[in-house]
Parts: sequence; structure tokens; C-alpha cells
Amino acid sequence: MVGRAVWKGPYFVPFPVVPPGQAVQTYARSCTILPSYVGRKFEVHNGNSFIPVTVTEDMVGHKLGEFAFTRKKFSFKKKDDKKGGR
Amino acid sequence: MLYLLGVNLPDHKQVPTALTHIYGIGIHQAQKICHKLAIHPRCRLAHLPEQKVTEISQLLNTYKIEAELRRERSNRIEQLVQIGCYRGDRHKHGYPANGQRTRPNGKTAKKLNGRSLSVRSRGFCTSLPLASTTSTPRVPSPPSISSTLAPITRLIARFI
Repeated sequence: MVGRAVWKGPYFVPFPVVPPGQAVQTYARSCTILPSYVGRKFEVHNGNSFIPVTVTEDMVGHKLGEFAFTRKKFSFKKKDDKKGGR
Repeated sequence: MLYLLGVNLPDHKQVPTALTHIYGIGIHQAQKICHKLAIHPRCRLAHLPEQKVTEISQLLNTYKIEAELRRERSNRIEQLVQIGCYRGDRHKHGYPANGQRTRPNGKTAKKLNGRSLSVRSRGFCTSLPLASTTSTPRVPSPPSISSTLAPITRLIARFI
């Protein structure tokens, strides 16, 4: 994946100022996580609801949307064996 | 067989080709090595003088290859899993991580992705939690009788 050209600088979105510890609700999934975001809490939209994301140092180059999954996890529920597994 | 930096290299092969057998050296790097050390690209590994072999191993020590490279690769993947991003989750489950479809295909990813992870568990029930802040492996709960029989009944059902 090539990604955004470095000379353009990272894509980010200005966020409202909130008291420390309070989460910021956002639809901006494509916002790059900047070093100044470390320690802040976001609630990122996944199409349906808002997923809480607490930014850590390791997350810095990634986008907010990477941490808010958009699809429900697939889990294979084994069926009841009354019908003999057919 | 020439034993070089933990790898057995085939003697009878040409030097660039033989060097590609090292994890982390492809044909491009191997050719660069030969250019740097004035080794003819058609020269066979067995025909190299001892001093040239020493020079090769000295140069290779400056490269990131073999165990060091494997470690770095698995560290990077583990970091993706630990921060809880989408790509890390795909590695954890062994699915393609680059946006491919999984309805058809995906077999290579199932075979290769997330091999190095300690948290990866194969099984029929795939409801794994998202990566937590600690990286301790999840202890599986003891299986019930129906869950142990289920794979067997499914297998039998296929042949009925």
C-alpha cells in the first residue's frame, strides 16, 4: 500500500476542544492519528454506533477508522445436534 | 553445500542464485552483493576462493537477514494486533489483510497470515475478543460433549 504522499503531510481533521478524559465523538474515520492525539479518547463511528478508542503511542501513523470495525465479527455457531448434523 | 551464516547454500549453483536461499536476500540484493565484491555473476559458489566467501559473510552481517528479519516481521505483526487495528485483527484470524474478498478465495491468507502469533487459535468457533491491552493468550474453556462430537458428526454427514 503506497498511502498518502509524504510531501502533502498527513490528512487530519480539527477536533473540538474537550475537557481532558472526555471522549470526542467523530465521523472522521480517515483522520490520521497525530502524536498530539496520544492519550485522548475518541468515539469513532462505524456506520451504526460509536466505538471508543483510546489513542496510544503505537497508533500514531494509523487512521481512526482502523480501530472501529465496521462489520460484525463472524462467528460460527455450531448448530443443535438434534437433527444429527445434516 | 556451503554453510554460511546459518544457511546451507547449494554449491553447484551460481553465486547470485545461491545467495537467494538466504531469508532476506532476493535476486536483486544477491546481484548487488556480487557487484560490490567483484564476483562474476556466472561464477559457481563452489569455485569461489575462501577469501571471497569471508567477504560475503562479512557483508551479509550488515544486512538484516534470517532470524533477525523474521523476528522483526513477527514483531511488527504482533504490534498491529496489540494496538487493536483492523489489519491486526485480520492476521489474528488468518484472513486476507489487504481488502480482498473472503467469500471466494482467501486460502493463502488462511494458510499464511498470523502464523507467528501466539494468540492465533484455529477452531470452528471463531468468536475471538478484540485485542486487549495485555497480550496473554486466551485460555480455552473445556469443550462440552456436543462440541467435541460436532466436527465428527459433520464429517460423517458429508459422506452420507
